[in-house]
This record gives sequence, structure tokens and C-alpha cells, in this order.
Amino acid sequence: MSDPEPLADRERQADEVPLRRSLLMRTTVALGLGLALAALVLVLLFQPYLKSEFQDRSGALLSDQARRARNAAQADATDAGTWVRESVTQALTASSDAVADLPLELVTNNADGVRALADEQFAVLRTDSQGNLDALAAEISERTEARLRREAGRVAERNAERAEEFGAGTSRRAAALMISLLAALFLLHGALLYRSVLSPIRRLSQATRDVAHGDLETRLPVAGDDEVARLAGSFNAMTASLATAHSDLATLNAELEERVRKKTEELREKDRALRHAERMASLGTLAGGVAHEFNNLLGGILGCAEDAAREDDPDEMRATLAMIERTARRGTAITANLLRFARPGTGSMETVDVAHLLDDVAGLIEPEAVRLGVTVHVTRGAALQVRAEASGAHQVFLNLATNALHAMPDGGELTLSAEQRGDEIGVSVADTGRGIAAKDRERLFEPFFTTRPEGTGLGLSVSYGIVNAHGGRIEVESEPGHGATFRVWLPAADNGGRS
Amino acid sequence: MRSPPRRPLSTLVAALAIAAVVPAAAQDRESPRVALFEIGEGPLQKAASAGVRDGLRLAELEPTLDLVVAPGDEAREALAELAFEPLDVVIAVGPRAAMALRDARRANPIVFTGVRHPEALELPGRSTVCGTAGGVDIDEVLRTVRRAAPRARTFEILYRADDTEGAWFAERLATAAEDSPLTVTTIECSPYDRTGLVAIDGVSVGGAQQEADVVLMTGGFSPRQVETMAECMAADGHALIGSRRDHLLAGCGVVIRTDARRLGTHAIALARRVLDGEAPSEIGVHRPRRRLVEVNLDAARRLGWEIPLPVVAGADHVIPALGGRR
Repeated sequence: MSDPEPLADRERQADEVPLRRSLLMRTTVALGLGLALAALVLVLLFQPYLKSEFQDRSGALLSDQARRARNAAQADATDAGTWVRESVTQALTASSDAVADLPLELVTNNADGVRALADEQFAVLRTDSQGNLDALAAEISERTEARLRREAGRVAERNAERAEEFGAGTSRRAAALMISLLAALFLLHGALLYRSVLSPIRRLSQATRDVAHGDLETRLPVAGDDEVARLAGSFNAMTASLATAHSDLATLNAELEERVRKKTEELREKDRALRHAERMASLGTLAGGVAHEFNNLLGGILGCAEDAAREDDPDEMRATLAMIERTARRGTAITANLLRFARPGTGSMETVDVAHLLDDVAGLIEPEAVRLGVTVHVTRGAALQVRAEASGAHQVFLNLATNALHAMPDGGELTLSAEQRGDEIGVSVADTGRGIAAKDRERLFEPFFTTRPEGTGLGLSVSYGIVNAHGGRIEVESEPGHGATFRVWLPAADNGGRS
Repeated sequence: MRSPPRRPLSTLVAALAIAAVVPAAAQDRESPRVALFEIGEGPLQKAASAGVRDGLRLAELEPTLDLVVAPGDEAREALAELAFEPLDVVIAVGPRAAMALRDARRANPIVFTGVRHPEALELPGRSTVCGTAGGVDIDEVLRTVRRAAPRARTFEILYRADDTEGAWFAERLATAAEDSPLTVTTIECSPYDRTGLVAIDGVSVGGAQQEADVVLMTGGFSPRQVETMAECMAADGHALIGSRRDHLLAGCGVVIRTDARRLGTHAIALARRVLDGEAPSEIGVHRPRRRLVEVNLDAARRLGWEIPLPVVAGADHVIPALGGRR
């Protein structure tokens, strides 16, 4: 029966927050309510201000216009009086002057003549006055109309200016109020946002850092059921899961470490056994050689002893005894070498003289070399010293020398030499045997690989392991039919090994 | 203008002979012997001449001689005739006639009229000369100018180069205005060219920039010349003031003058006084009490000049503005 719905989808649905409880809804509602409140405040605060301001300004404007009209009317009245006075004054003055200018001398004692003159003059004056008054009245009327038009224009301009001032002032106040309200609203919104989102996110960030630093006991408080709360819950679940996994991992790790330790111990044991086996094999070979040598020595000693028993001449007897002594000392040297080889190493690194090492190895293989007809050359250069574990080093070069002897069953030459190159000392074991085929060279250091039926196949692999443990390396140069050269590089001693 | 009667030399000799023969007693006549003498023509002189004839009618006098001559030879001949004519008084109408009689050093009394400023013609102070002066008082002119253009600060007085009276008046007016807020400049205008336009400082009126707040054109300028000036000043808002009646109709907003015709009539009154035995030196120069301020609102509107209403109300004659306000 198939799962009706994948698990991931079910989990996802379980994580979805209902809209009415979601953070989005809460912040949206808060912002909307805030805006509505701000608009209401704006209207409530601004309306009375607008009303009052409009009343004040329009009242001031009307008062100003009434005052101007009143002043204008008063000025007009004053002016009219002035004009009337001027006109009357002019008429009277003109009459008076006209009378004064009458050429009465021409009509002396002629009353009719005087009257005719006066009538003529006054008629002119009357005509002029009437015309003047009509012209004056027309001019006054026209100028008054023009002034009223100008005044009306100025009033309109002033009204427009004041209206613009009022509008600008209102706009500025409204803008200031709106900006203030919006600022308050956004501050409030910011506070809500901080409380609902930013602060929890900060706590989450800190908790994440704590977890990254290893504190898997960190937990976040879960308040409410919105997205932030769900996130906190998810974080806590994740941290708990991490803690459990970490614990399991630690346990598994401990088990693995124990296993590794045991395996390592086993490997070490096997390595030691391997070494011991090789050493035993080398010793076996060595013992064979030594036994053969001792057999020869003892045969020589026995023969000399028999000769000495039969010898009557004291001088001859002394010579034979000296031969016996030399042979015995030779045997002692061989024994000393063997003991030195067989003595277990201390396991610690020490400064080893390369020349002495090579001499020891040459001494140990001499009997076998003599038996096989191999000439051993030891090239000693400057005093060289290496940092090595002595018995291990002996074992390595003895293995190589022994292998070289076995590669020359019909005789040849074996050369042991040493050189320094930088911080390394290279010890070479070169033979003139049958050489090593290329395919065999690749497997030389494999354990149990041997080209001799009687070989253990462990010598070179153990030697490789020992050299590697010293931080050195083994190089092989060989061509079939042209012998082989094994060169072992080991770190020089701290004083450089130079004399 | 009445055509001057031409008298040949023979007639002159005959008159002299008759004068020599007629006994002195015959000279004690009932009607006085009055001569009228005019040289050239001009509007002011014409008005004065008309007034003189009005006066003669009122006085019931008939001129013995009525000489209206052209300048030059005619004037000289007329002077010669007057020299030999026994006259009780000679009425000189116009500045040319007055100066000619002044220079002739006649013993007969001379009554001049049609003269604006007799001081400019060196007429006052002579024992045998009296007359009427038609020029407006300088202080009166300044008062009127300041009332008519209260915001004016600069004042130009134009006079023609051949107008002795105008030059004299401009100089005196400039001197009188030194203590006033007005900055006064007098400008002598060269004689007019053939087109009748006045050249001012070598620049024709049509091209000059009249920057003064008030320009006053003295009586020597013709109406055409005033028209030209008014056209140049159109809509500048500056004031153009004239000195004659025809200046008012030519484009001046205000004219300040006297009644030349009435003065001509008054000259006969002075002659009557002379005939009655009063010495001319005692009569002196008669100046009218009445000065006329005339306003042309239409011309003022074209100039862009708003004449204060009190000035309009106090004007002796107002020409109304035509049409709507510009």
C-alpha cells in the first residue's frame, strides 16, 4: 500500500502557519491600523485649524478691503471738496481779475458801456465755467473708474497672494503633520518588527554561533505559533538531533579508536615477529656461515694441535701454538661479531659510526665470502655518522650483504662504501653477481618475495621497513648480468657526521 | 491781416506842406490823432491788434494812421511817415513795432502792446513809452508748473534763438527756479528749417530724447513745432506746457498765458490816459491781473500725463479728453 502523501509534503504542511496567526498578517494589520489612525488624527487635528485659519484670513481680507474702500471713499470725498473749492475759487478769482482788467477808462461816464463790458466778460466766464465743470466732472468720473479698476486688480492680486500664502502655509503644516505622524507610525512599526522579527533572529544567530562552537545544549524559547516561533522550534529540534548524533558519533569514534589501537598493537606484534623471524633467518644464515667457519677453524686448530703433539722441536711447537692462537682469536672475533649482531637493540636512536658498521658487517660475512670465493672491499672515506637504531642498521646492511653474497655463488666482488650528500649518508652494497631482472626489481621489497628457493623472502621487506622507519630510503640499481647496487640513505647525525 | 496802405513820397511831401501851412490853431483839434503801427505778424500780435481795435471802438476813436507793414523797407518807410506825422499817441502793436519806435527816439508818446516781456526789449523806463505786458509772472509760472507736475524734478525751457523775449524769460525763469526742487535747463533752439521743424542743439525734434519731466515751450514756437514736440513726448508721462492759446490745441497739456486781445484793448485805455494829459512815464507798464491757465485733457492723455484734478478744477479753460482713457 503506497503512502497516500509523501512525508516531506506532510511535514511541510505541518510547518505552514495559519494566515490569521502569521507574522505577515500581524504586521500588515498593525501598519494598516496605524495608517488609518494617522489619517484620522490628521483630519481631526487639521480640520479645525483649516476652518479657523480660513475664517481669520478671510475676515482679515474683508476687513482690509472694507477699510480700503472706506479710505478711498473718504479720500474721494475730500478730493471732491478740494476740487469744488478750487473750481469756485477759480471762478471767483477769474471774475475778480476780469473785472480788474476791464478797460474802464474807455467807458468813463458811460454806465451802459461799463455794463456791456462786464456782461461780455461775465458771459465768457460763464461759458468757460460751465464747460470747465462739465470737463472736470467727466475727468473725475473717468479717473475714478480707472482707479476702481486698478484697485480691483490690486485687490484681486492681494487675494491671490494671500490665497497662495494660505495654501502654502497649509501645505507646509499638513506636510509637517503628516511627516510627524508617519514617522511615529514607522517608529512603532519598527519597534514591532524588532520585537517580532529582528530580536528573535538575533537570538537565533547567537544560538547558531553557540552550536557552531560546540554547545549543543543551546535551545531557543518558543513563544506563540507564528513563523518565528516555528523557526525557533525547528532550530531546537535540529540542535537536539545534532546532540544525539554527536553523542553517537563520539561513541562510535571511541569504538573505532579502540579497534584501531588493537589492530595497531597486533600489527606491531606481527612486525616484531616479522623482524624477529628475519633476524632469525639472518642469524640462521649467519649461523651456517659461522658454523662452517668455526668448523674450519676448529679443524685447523685440531690439526695444529695434533702436529704440536707430535712435534719435538720447541720452535716448531711454538709456531704451531701461535697458529692455534691466531685461529682461536679469529674465532673469538667471529663470535664477538655474532654476539653483537644477536644482541637485541635498545630501540633508541643513536649516533652510529658508518665505518665501524661496515667493518662489523664485513667481518660477519667474511667466512661465507671466503667460502664462495667473493672478495669483500670496504671503502672508508671521511668519518661518517648516521642517526639510527644500531641493531636495525646492522640488520639492514647484513641483509643486503648476505643477499649480495648469494647473488655470487661462483665468486665475485662485494663492495661496501659510504658517502655523504647534504644531510644524508648513503651506504652502498654493490656486487658483481647475476643482477636483478626488471620485473623482479618491482617486487624486491614485497614480503616473502624471493628468487632463492632457500630464502625466506623477508629480508628486503624488513630492511625496507627499518629504513623507512628511520626516515630514509633504499635505491636499487641493477641490470641482469651486471650485478646490483643497493644504496641506503639515512639521515646524517646532528653534528653532520663530518670529522 | 489788413493790407498796409502804401503812401508814395509825393503824398508825404504834400502832407508835410499842409502841416507847415495849417496854422497852429488848426492843430487844436477835437479828435486826437492816434496812429497804429504793426510790423510783421504773429498770433499774439494778431490778438493784440484785434484788442486794440476793440478798444478804439469802445473809445470811439478813429486811427489817424493805421500802418501794418512787413519788416524791412516797408517798416522803414512807415517809420519815416510816422516821423513826419503830428500824432498825439502811437500805438505800437508787437515787439518789432515797439522796438522800431523805441529806436526812432520819437517825442510822441508810444503805447506798446502785444509784447510779452518789455524788459527784454528795453522799453520800460523811457519817458515817452508805456504799454501793456502780456507775459505771465515768473513766480506764477513756477507755481503752476509745480502744481501741474508735482513729481517733476527736471524742467526744460525751450526758446527760439531769434526770440529775444523768450530768451529773456527763460533766463529769468531758470534763475527764479534755483531755489526750487526743480533742476532747470534752458535750451536755445536754432531757427527752423524749411519743413518748419525746430532743430534743438542741432538735433531735430523728431530725434531728440526729451528726458525732462517738464518741457515749457515759450511763445516764439509755432503750433506745428509744438505738435512735433508733443509727438516726440507721446506716452512718456512727461509734461508739455505751452505759452499761447494755439499751443493748447497743438498738443500741450497746459498753457499759461494772458489775454492778448484784452491787453490790446487795455492799451487803448492807456492811450486814453495819455491823451488826457497823463505822462507815459507815470503810466508805466500795465500787467494784467488775470493770467489764464488752460488745460487740454486730451493732449495730456496722449502725453501720458495725469494732470492733478485740483489744477483741472482751477483752470480757466478745460478741453475734455476724447474717447476712453489710454
